[in-house]
Amino acid sequence: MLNLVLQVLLNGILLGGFYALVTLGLNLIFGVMDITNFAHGDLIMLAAYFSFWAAKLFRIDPVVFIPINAAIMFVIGLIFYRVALKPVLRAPAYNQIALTFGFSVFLQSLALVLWTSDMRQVEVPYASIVFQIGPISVGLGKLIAFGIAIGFTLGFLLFLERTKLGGAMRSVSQDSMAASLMGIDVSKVYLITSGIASMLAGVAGSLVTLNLYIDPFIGGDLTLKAFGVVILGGMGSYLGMIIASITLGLAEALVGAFLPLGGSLAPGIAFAVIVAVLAIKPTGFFGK
Amino acid sequence: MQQRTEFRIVIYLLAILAIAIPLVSGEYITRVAIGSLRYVVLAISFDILARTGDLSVGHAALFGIGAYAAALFNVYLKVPTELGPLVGGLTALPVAVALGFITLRMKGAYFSIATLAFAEAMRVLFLYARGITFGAMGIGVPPIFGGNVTVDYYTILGIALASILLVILLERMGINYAFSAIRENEDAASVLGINPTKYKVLAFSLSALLAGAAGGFDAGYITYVYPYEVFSITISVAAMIMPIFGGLYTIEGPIIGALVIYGVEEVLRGWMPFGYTLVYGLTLIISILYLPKGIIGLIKEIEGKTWLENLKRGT
Repeated sequence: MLNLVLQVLLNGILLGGFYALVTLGLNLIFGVMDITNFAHGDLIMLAAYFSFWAAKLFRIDPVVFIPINAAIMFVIGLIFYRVALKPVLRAPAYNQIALTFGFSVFLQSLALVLWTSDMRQVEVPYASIVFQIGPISVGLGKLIAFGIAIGFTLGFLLFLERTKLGGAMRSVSQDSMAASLMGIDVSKVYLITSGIASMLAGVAGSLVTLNLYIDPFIGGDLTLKAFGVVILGGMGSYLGMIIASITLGLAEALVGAFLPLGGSLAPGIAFAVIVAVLAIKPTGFFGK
Repeated sequence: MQQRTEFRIVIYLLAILAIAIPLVSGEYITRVAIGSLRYVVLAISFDILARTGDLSVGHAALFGIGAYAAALFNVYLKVPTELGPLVGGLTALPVAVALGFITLRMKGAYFSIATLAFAEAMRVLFLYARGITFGAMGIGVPPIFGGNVTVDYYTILGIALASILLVILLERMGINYAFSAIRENEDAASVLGINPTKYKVLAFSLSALLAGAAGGFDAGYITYVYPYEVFSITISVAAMIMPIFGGLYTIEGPIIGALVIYGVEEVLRGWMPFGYTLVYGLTLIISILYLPKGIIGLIKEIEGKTWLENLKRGT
């Protein structure tokens, strides 16, 4: 029993680390632009298919492909800003939700046309390597995904704290008017923010192919989990995001381990988390 | 005045056409008409909620709950499927009240996020509770009115007319003013003594009543309820795009949007079985960017300026 609990804890933390990276871009766009991007998961899905293509057509390993995927997705993020975010920057929430959701549907359908609804998988030789640490076991693929996800998440937070651009992003997210009076080019910060958010989605997309099957609908699922994390952690809070990611990962691992076929209930857990937080503390547990 | 009379003549012609469809056309056309009327109900349902400024991104949840309620009441309690629309609507309503009180208090995207999660959660829940819902196998029920397509048609036409009447009633009773006030400025509305959450929950419940009724009809009409079908994102997307494309906050907009988009979908599905939803996404994007008031807004704008004069001058 203790072994099982340890195993579940480890699985939950590994999953949670990945969710932190999945949520990062969504949280960033919300923090800086005050827009809830309903297409965030679909950007990750798109990147996952790029990673699949790279592996299938050019035999490039998903981990090696990460920098290229990040660069491609950065450019897509710049385009995404022009077409999906900029037109609704000052618009009511209704327009922002409808437009980004429109892009979510568009990207999903595009993936259906380009790659059909078949489940795809990238086969990496090291995915089957499993380490045995006493009674608990861990796959190398999951360990790599966790390491890269946490690395990028912490690296990005450091960038936000230490660099000039990061400082500009933080000041725009606090008060865009004041930031612009201080000489910060706000629209440029918005553009780059969208690029970086999409780039982080690109890294997450590469990691998806390392461990999971992909199909055009995984984006909706990832968006939903990211929403669960930001609502639990408080929209715009990064510390809250990391704690909430691990919490959601643990909750999914627990339900998956102790309920028969519990793994299929994951979207239900995200919903339960969202409703429970909104009922008890609507601003999230670490929100502004 | 002239515009009004012309508009009325169009309405009467459409009404006669609507009543005559199953009498003058074959089964295929009648079935297409039934399909489109079902979406008319869903589009109106979405629009009623949107009038308070709230966007449902998972309207399939309410539709699916309605469909499952009709099927489960039939299987376990022998309630005839003919009562499906009523059962479906009355089951979805209290669910919306409960969810609404929790999620509609917050401004911004919280409600939309919750509806998206709700639809996903309902699908996995109904798939999971195999002991009751038969999981992915779905539930088979006897056909509504013995599978008579003509009677089916008049049933869904009746539900659609009832939905239109409900909107007219909301507008006549002045509740719509409260809805609009909340949509335009929630804080100002509450200063005026309007309780935003109360009205939002009211809008959501009425919306759920109609969406549940459409689902309840669907169960008996299709005679089968599958979780992947009734909780599919396609239904949520359609319910959202149709009224936005047609023109929100109007009576005609959702109806026109549903008829046009369902018609286009019916054609596209034939030669683009995978990608026809691409048009859904593009329509939503283009509507938000370039047609913020939908087709109805466009017509009104052109009409208000030049359309009638041009017609009279013969140019």
